[in-house]
Parts: sequence; structure tokens; C-alpha cells
Amino acid sequence: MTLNRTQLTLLWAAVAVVVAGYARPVQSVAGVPVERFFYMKMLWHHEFDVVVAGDSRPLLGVSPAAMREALPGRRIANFGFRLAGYSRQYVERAESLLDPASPGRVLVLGVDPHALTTNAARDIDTPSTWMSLHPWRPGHFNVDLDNEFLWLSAQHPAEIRLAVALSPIHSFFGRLTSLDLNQLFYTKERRPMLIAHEDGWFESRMGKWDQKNVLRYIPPMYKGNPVSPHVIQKLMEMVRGIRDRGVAVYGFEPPTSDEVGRLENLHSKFEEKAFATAFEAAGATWLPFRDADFETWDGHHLSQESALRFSRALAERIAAAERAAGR
Amino acid sequence: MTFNSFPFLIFAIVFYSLWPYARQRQSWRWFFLVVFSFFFYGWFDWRYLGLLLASGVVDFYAALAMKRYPERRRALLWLSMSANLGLLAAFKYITFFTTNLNELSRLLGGDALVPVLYVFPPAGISFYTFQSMSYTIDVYKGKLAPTDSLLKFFAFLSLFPQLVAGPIVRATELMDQLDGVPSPTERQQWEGLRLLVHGYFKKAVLADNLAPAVEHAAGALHFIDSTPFWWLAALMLGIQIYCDFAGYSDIARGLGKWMGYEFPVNFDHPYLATSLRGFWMRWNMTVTRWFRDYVYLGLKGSRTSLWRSARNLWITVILLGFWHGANWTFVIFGTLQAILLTIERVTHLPRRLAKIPFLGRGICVVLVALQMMLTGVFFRAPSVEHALLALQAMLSFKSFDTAPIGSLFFAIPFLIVAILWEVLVFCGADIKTLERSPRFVRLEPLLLILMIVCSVYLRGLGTAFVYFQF
Repeated sequence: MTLNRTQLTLLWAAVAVVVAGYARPVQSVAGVPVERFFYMKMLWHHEFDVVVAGDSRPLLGVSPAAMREALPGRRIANFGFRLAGYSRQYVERAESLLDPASPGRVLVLGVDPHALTTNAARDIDTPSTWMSLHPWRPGHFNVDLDNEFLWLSAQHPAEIRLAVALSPIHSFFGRLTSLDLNQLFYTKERRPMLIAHEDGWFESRMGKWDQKNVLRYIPPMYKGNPVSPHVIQKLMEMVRGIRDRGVAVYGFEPPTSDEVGRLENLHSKFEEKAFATAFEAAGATWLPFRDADFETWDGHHLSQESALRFSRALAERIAAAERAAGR
Repeated sequence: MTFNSFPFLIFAIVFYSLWPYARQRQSWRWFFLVVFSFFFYGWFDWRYLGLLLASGVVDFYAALAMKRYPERRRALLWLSMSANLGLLAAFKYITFFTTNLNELSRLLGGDALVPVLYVFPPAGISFYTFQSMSYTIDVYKGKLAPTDSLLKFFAFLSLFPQLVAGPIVRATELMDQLDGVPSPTERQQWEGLRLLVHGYFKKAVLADNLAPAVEHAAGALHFIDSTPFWWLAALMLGIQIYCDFAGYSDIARGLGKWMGYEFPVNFDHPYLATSLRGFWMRWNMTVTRWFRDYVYLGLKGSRTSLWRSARNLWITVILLGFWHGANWTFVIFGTLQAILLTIERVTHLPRRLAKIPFLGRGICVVLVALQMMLTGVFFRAPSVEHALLALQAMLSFKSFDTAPIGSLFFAIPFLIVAILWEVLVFCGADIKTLERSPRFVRLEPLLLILMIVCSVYLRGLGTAFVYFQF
């Protein structure tokens, strides 16, 4: 059989693509293929004793494996998503990860100001949100693709299963991310910067970022979008409901740099003390931490070593509270 | 199913493996095309297949009835138009209409008149309803004999490469092709491959890597006050939308060629046009042609008084703007285009500028690009307020701070590649000219292989094609 020019070119292109895949010069994200990581979380159901929820701060800051050192034998998951907010749907989904047969079900909420804004805590069943998330619908330019939970909620379950099934192929043919290109052309480093773990933790080994650049994005983030009393009230109602169903609920504010914390509270109008009081009144337990005890790489997210230390500290406090409550 | 998704890759492999067998017998061929096209469209949301069926069935029988009852042709045409425009109104514009009706009522001191209806328009509804309408209009005008086969009609209407984002292929262009046994020649196969590779490169590498920069700029409207930043962002937006849509059209045409079918060219380097009129003759050509033939010429075009001719232009261009989306921003975009086209028609500015030695053509191209960058803000902005804010930032000339440009840095290499591509064509290195060079013919396969590798590993974050929403 003689191949024509088109077929020959296609054949050589296929070889070149496979060779390029094997010769990939950098891999800045390692561990569970990122193409599988977030989709996989959407398939979790009724299989854990302890679930940690929240946005990127808990996502990068809480290692379930490290928590297990203080909570041995517990099945722990990190259900964090970048820019996730405490919408009804998100809290319900987080609770649904807990095994109903587990004797000690614990839901841990990582609470920071952004997760309590109206923007972050949108529900997918709001028609305007639904419309904005379907890319071929009008208004898709408003899409907040960074809010991964919201985006994944809009996907059909079959699409999620398909994405998980095909993730090895997606991973091999994965695109070079901006982190990869940065390593390739600028930093010349050849090590993973982010490591995705099966338990849902996104470990960060990033270098220090310029604080000035980070701080300038905080005021616009909260402009017209401060912490919403309505979101807090709804969250408290949900917490009460979860407590009534026999689940222990804990909350904490993930540590940040002093500057980020101060500026964020100023612009978001978040008051940790008032929130903690309301949280405890709803039957949950608030666990305060000192920002200064932990180190971040960009002011917002804990570095790897701090995340491990923080996770152990968090688990120890939960274990102590559980013992005190006789659970 | 989008062309840049994994399921489509599987779909295409299955389709093109079976196509050589399926194409041999006419009825099998049409059946095969309809089944695969419906599967392709149903992948988005199977419920919307009903709309495609409804639109097609009405037009198929309306056209047949025109043949049988010629004296009722006009009424049947109205039926077809009402059904298609009714579908568009109900599924694309209803939210816009109900929201604005309530706003108007509030402005007049009343309460909301109707509940706001959120209806999710099916992908590409504007494309297939227009394609379907063109069939009945052409039958009405006697340019086309209606087909007796429902299967053939749906093979024409739903043909998957061009179903959701064009090019809008007229029945007169495709029906005859559907009759014969298509056997793609070696040249067609090669041209198809070239179009596919160029299309994926434009979409996945250029448009999708520019998209995050454009998104970033949109999110920075309230706090970045730097004129150069905003002009750069506007340039990126223009190139992103162009590469996105032209990429889709190239892929659609390439897939068509591999089947043995020819679809009309939809983009001809619009940013190299030397006038705004020329821009629209090169941008989304099949849609522009639709509006020209069925709206502008239907209103007697320019074969009437100067005033009426200007009115016809305005109606056509504003409708073209509104066709793109149910938002005031698109109406304003159309109106601004109408104003600029009228100025151009009255002043003959491009023709005069083009006479400047050496630089004339270049000046005209830059002028057209500037007009598109300024008006394009309305094309992209989610609201009029956002668009005005961006325009204010572009035209305030208060701050020339270049530091914010750093945040768009990651997209600049892709912008340069896209511009270089156009510059090469501007300098005469278009594919038709290059094909005459034996050295290029030898090197082209290598270039295509490189582009394929880039499309896989340098692709941006895959998003749906921008024009799917229209």
C-alpha cells in the first residue's frame, strides 16, 4: 500500500507528537494528573470520616495525610477548590462526602473572606449563573472559570466520568502550562512546583512571590463584593442543620501573611471574632490560629512545610475537641 | 461536541473510517451524514435536537408546498420565516426582551410586566436557522428546486462540520454536491489537512493563549489606568476573536474537504482590509453575504436614493450586530459600524489614503484595525457600562504607565506570531503564491508537523469557540 502525501504527513505528525510527549522538557505539576485531580473530587461520595472544605487556601494548606498523624485510622479528604465559596450546593456536596455509617463524622470549614462573598457563594441553579457557565451560551464571557467547583458542577456527570477515565491520555498529551513555560524559558528550574495528591491536597513548592504585586489585586477583588451577611446567615443555618444530623463541624481561618490579612479584612469587611461567635452559636467549634506561626509563599497560601505543620496542628486541635466532647 | 475536544477526535476517527463505505450509496450516505451530525449536535444537549428538527421540517415542507401550490408561495415563505425567527426569538432573545420590557416599564414608573425568562439558546441556533431560511427563500425566488427527500434535506441542514458556527452554506452550493458520490482527490485531502492544521493552530495555540490575557484585562477594568495596557488588550481581543472564529471556519472547511465537499471561504484575512467595507467583505463572509442578499438587497440596497440606501445600510448592519447576541452591546456595536461605514461611504477616505505612495495601503490597514479595536470593545464587554469603562481607559491618555503590561506578558509571543502571520500575507506570502515555490512544497509537510506538535503541547486552556454563542 502506498501512502499519499497527506497520509505520510499525518503519520509523521503522530510520531512527532508521541516523541514530544516522552521528551517533555519540564513537568511543573506532578502527582495525580491535574486533568484528573479536580474531576476526581466530584466523584467522591459517602466515603470519608473527615472532610476539609474551602477555597485554594485550605486546598493548598491542608494535607489529609499529615492530619492522620493526629487522627489515626480516619479517612480524611481535602475537598478544596480554587475560589470556591460557601454556597448551599458546595456545603451540601462537602457533607455528602461523609460516610453516613461513620461513627465520627467531621466537617472542617476553612473560612476566609472571599469564600463568604456573594460572588464566590453563587449556586449553580441560579439561572444567570447556569447561563454564564455554559460556554456556548450568551454571556459566557462573564464566566468565572477559576471557580472550579462552580464550573465542574455545570458539567454532566458522564462528562466527569469520561474525563477521569481519559485522564492518563490527557495527561500524556497535557499542554505546557504557564508554569512549565516559565521554567523552560526564565527560571531554568526543572522541579515540580505543585504536587496533586490522591487525598485532595494540592502541595505547593513555589518560591516566594513579590508581595507588592499580590497586594494590588486585593482591593478590586472586594470592590462591590464584600463579605455578605446573607451568605454568612445561610452558612450558619446550614451548619445548624449539619450539626442536627450528628456531624461535628469545625471552622478555622487559614493563615495568611500579615499584610494580606490586614488588607483583606479592611476591604472585605470581614471580622473573624464576630464570625467565630456566630459560628459557635450555630453549634460548631471555631479553631483560631496565629498567622505569624506559619509561612506563605505568596501571602495567601501556605508553603509545603508550613502546610504540613498546620495540618498536624489542625488535626491535634480537632482530636482534642473531639475527646473533650466525648466522641 | 467541540472540534477541540477529545470526544470529537474519537468521533472524527470513527466517521472518517466509515465514510469511504457509507458514501457509495446515496440513501446510505445521507442517512449516515444525518445520524453522525445529529449525534455531534446532540452531544451538546440532546433536547435541542428537537429545535433543529422543527426548524428543518417546517422549511422542508414549506418548500415542497411552494412547488405544489405556487399561488401560496408568499404565505408559505412567511410561515417559514415566522417559524425560524420565532425559534430565534424564543430561544435566543426572550431573556433580552423580557428584561428590557420590565426595565422600560420601570422607567415609566410601573412595575415589572412579565417574569424574566431565562432560556438557554442551543449552540449555533443562529447559524442553522439562517441556513434553513436561505433554503426556503431560494426556493421562493425560483433559484432552487425543492428536494423531495427529507433525508437529503437534513443532510444539508445538519452537516456537522458547519452546523454550529458556519460557514453558512447555501442550498444552491451544497445540494448538488450531496447528490454525487464524493471522493476527495489527493489535492483536496492535502488542502483539507492544511486547513485543519491552520485552523487548530489558530484556535488552540493563538486564540486560546490570548484568551486568558483578555480575561485578565476584563477583570482589571476597575483598577488599571494605563492607556498602552488597554490598547494592547484591545489588540489582543481583536486577534483572539479572529483566530478563534477563523480557526473554526478553517477546521470546518478542512473536514468538508476530507469528505469530498467544498464549503465557501469564510475569512479572508480581514485585518488586511484597506477599508471597513472591505473588512466586512472578508469577515464571516457567509453571514455577511446572507445579510447582504436577503436583507440589504431585499430592501433594494444602493439602487435607490442616497437617503434610502443609507437607511438600508444601517438596518442591515444593526441587524447583523444584533444577530451576534441578545445584548445592547451588540446593538451599539452594529450602530457604530453603521456610522463608520456611512462616513467611509461619504468621504471615500480609504480610496484617498490608498493613493499615498508606499505607505497608503499600510495606513488604511492600520486605520481599519484601529476602528475595529475601538468598536470591538462593545463586542466583548458583558455590559454597556463595562464597554464605556474600557473605552474611557483607552481614550483618556492620562497614564502611560507600562508596568501593567507585564501582566499580559505571557500572551505577547502568541500575539506576535498571529501578527507576523498576517504581515507575511500582507507582503504577498499567501498560500496561493507560496504553493508555486518548489522549496515551499517540500518544506510544507515539516511546517504542518511542527504546527501539529505546537497545537498539542502549546495549546491554551481549551474553551468553546466564541462563535458558538451566536
